[in-house]
Amino acid sequence: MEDLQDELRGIFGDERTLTDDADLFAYSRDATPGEMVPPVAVVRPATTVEVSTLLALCNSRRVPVVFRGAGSSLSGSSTPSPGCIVVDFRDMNKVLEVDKANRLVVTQPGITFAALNRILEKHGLLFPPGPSSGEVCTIGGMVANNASGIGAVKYGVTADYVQQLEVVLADGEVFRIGTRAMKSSAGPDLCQLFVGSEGTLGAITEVTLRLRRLPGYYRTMLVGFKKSQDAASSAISLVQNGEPPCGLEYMDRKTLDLVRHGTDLEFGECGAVLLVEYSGYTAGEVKRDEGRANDILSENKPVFTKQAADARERESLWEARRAAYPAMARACTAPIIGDVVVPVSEFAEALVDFEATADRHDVPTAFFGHVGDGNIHPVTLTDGEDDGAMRRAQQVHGDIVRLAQGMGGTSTGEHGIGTTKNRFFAAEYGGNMRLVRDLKKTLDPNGILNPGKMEG
Amino acid sequence: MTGNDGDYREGVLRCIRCGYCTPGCPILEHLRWEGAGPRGKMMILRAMHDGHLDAGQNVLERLAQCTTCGHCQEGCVTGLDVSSVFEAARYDLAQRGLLLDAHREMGKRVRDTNNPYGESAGHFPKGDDESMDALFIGCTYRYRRPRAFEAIERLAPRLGIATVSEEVCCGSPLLRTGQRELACEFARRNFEVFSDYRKIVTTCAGCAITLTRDYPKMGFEMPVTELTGYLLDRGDLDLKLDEPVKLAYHDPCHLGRGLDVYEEPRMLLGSVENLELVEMETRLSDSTCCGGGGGVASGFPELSAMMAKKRVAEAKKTGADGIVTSCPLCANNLSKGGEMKVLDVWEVMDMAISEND
Repeated sequence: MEDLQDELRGIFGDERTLTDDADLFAYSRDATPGEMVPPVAVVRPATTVEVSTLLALCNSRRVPVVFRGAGSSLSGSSTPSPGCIVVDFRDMNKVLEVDKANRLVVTQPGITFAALNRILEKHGLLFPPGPSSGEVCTIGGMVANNASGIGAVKYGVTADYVQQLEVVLADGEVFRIGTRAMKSSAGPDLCQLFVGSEGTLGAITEVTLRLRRLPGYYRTMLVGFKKSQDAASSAISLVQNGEPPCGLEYMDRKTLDLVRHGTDLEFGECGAVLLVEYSGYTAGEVKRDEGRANDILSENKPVFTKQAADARERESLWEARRAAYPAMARACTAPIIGDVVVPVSEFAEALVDFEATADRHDVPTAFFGHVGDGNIHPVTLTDGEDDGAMRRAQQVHGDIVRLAQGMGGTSTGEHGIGTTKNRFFAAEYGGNMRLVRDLKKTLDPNGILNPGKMEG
Repeated sequence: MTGNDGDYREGVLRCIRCGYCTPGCPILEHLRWEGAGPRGKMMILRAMHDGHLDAGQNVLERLAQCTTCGHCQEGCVTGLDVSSVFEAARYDLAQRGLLLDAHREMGKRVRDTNNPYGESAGHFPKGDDESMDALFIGCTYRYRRPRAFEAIERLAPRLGIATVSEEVCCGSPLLRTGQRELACEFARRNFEVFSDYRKIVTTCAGCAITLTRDYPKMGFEMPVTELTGYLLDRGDLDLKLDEPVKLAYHDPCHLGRGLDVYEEPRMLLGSVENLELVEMETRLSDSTCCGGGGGVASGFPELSAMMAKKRVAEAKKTGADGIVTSCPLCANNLSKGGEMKVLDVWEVMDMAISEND
C-alpha cells in the first residue's frame, strides 16, 4: 500500500494526494444512505494526462478506481468500492471554450451545472436539463448518470446534449469521441456508451455540449386539483396536446403539507398540484401556450389556479417545488427517494398503484416529480433507527419499481443504478445484460472501474 | 437543535450528505478537499460516532478548519445549525484533551489576562455614568484597533452611553474553539456587571452573536442590541464626512448570517453624506467570510490570510477606495489581505459625527 501511495504522490504531488484516515472518511459515502467505505487514497487530478497515468497504474495493479464529481449521487454511484482510489475531479472545473456561433461549450467535468449556466447566460445560452441539485452536481457526474430534471419534459436529458467526450479508458488510453457537427451518421454514437455509464466504462475528462438559446419569456402557474387523479390526467393531456411545457411538476398532498410547514404557503383543500411553466422567445408565444394549457386544465376542474404575475412570484413558486425534498429530509431521519418512470399515458394508473403499495406496507410516502415525462419520486418517510420501518420502506420501493417495469417503464429516470438499484438492473435489461457485461469486459477487462455498480 | 448547549451527534445523524452546504464554503474553496468543507466534516464526525475513526490530531485539525461563517447553513436542506454542530464537536474533542496548541494558549491568555491577546488591561474609555445603556466594547477593539478604540473613547460620552470597565472577554473565541467551561465563567462575570443595564450595545459582531445567541444557552439572558441599529434608532445623528469616499461594505458573518443584521449597517452608513457605499459581488447572506473567525486566524494563519486576500480582491473589483465593516475582527483580518484601507463603523462615525451632535 505504501508504495502505491508513493506512486500516487509521484503523479499528483503531496498537495493533491490524500491518505490520512480522517480525510478518507470524508469521501466514504455519497448522498446515498448506507455503510461508510473509506477509500485507500483520494487524488485530485488537474489534467487528462494525470488521469491517464493513474488509470494505467491502477489497471496494472488491479486497484479499483471510483470517480467523484460532487458526490451527490442518490443511488450510490460514487460511493467508494472497497480498496479503491477515489478520483476527485474538483480541480478540473474550467470552461475551455464557448462557441456561440455553433451553440457549443467545451468544459472540464468538475464544473457544477449552475456555475456553467451562469457563464453561458452571459452569452445568451443555456444547458437546460435542470437537476434540482444543480448548484452542487457537476457536468461530469451529469454525463455519467445521464442526469435530467425539471426541464427534461421540453428540453430532454443530458444525453441529448452530448456532442463530444474525451474519455480515458481503464488502461489509460485517451479517446476523443463524437463530433461537433450537429448531426452525423458516421458510425455508432460512441458518446452514448459513456453517457449513463456511471464511471464503469471510462473516466470523462472533457465534455462538449450542445446548447439552447436562453429563453426570455416565461409563464408559470400553480394549479390545484381536488384529487391526485385529476392532476395526473391533466398532466397527461398537457403533454399529449400542443407544445410541451418547460416544466411540469407534480406534488401530492403529503408533499404540500410538508412544504408549507413553517412557511406561509397555502394550497387550499386540493389533493395535488401541478406546477406548469412555458418558456419562449416572445411574450406572445408563451401567452398562447399558457392559454392552451388553461383550456386543457379546466377540463379537470381545478380548485385553484395561481398565475405568477412577475419574476418574483415565479421564483417563489419554484422555490416551493424545490423545497419538496428538503422538507422531507426535515420530516424524518432517513428519507429514501425512488426515481421510477412510466410511459406518460400510464401515469394516472401508475400513481393509483404506487399509492396503494405504500398504504399496503403502511409506510408514509410522499409523491412528487416530473410528471411531464412520467418520472415520479416516491419518498418513504422513515426513521433510520427503525429497522422494521426501513425494511418495509425498501419493500415499497421494490414493489413500485416492479410495477413501473411491468408498465414498460424503468427503475430510474435520472438517479442511475449505482448500488441501490442493482437488484432491478438485470430484471430491467433481461437478455440485454449480456451486452452490458460484454461491453464492460471489453472496455474494462480487469474490472477496476467503479466495481459493484451497475452489475445487475 | 445541537449547539453550544448540546451534543453534536444529533446533528451529524441528521445530515443526509446532499452537499447543498458546500457551495460558498470558503475553506473548501481554498483547501479543495472534501474534509475541508462542511459535508466532509459531517462525514468525519459520523465516522467517529459510528466507531470507525478515533478522535485524534487529524480530526481536530479538520474540525478546526472552519471559521463558523455559517454559509453552509444557508444551503442545508435539513435546517442544521452546522456551525453549532462543529462547535459542539470541538467541545467534545476538547473534553478529551484535544485542542490546537494555538487555541490552548489563547484560552490560557484569556484566563490570565481576561482577553485573548494577552494584553494587560490598560486604559478604559469613560462613558456616560448616568446612562442605563451600556457599551460592550470587546477585546479586539480594545487591543487591536487603536484608532477605533480612540473613536469609542471620544464618542461614548457624546452618545450618552455608559462603559463598564469590568468588562472581560465575551467568551466567543473560547466557544468557537470548544472551551465551553471557561467561556461560561467569563459569561458569568460579564453578566454580573452588565445585567442591570436596560440595554447592552455590542459593537463587535463576535460579541454580538455571543451575547445574543450563546449567553442565553448558558443561562445568562441580557437585553442586547447591536450598534448600528442602536444608532439608527436614535435618529438624531447628523453624519457627514469632510471628503467624499467610496467604501465597499463587508457583511460580518456573525452579524449578517448569524443575527440577520444586514440592513441596519447599510442604512446607517448610507446616511453618511459624502460616503458612497457600494456592494461586493458576494454580499448579504451570500457574503464571503474574511477568514478571521472560528479560531482559524490563530490556528491556521496562512489560510486565514488567503481568505482575507480573496475578500480584499473582491472589494477592489468594486472600484472602492476602501472597505467598511461592522466588526473589528473582520477589519483586523481584512487589513492583512492587501493594500486597501479598512475601516469599521466606529471610525466612520468618529469622522462623520459633527461637533454639534
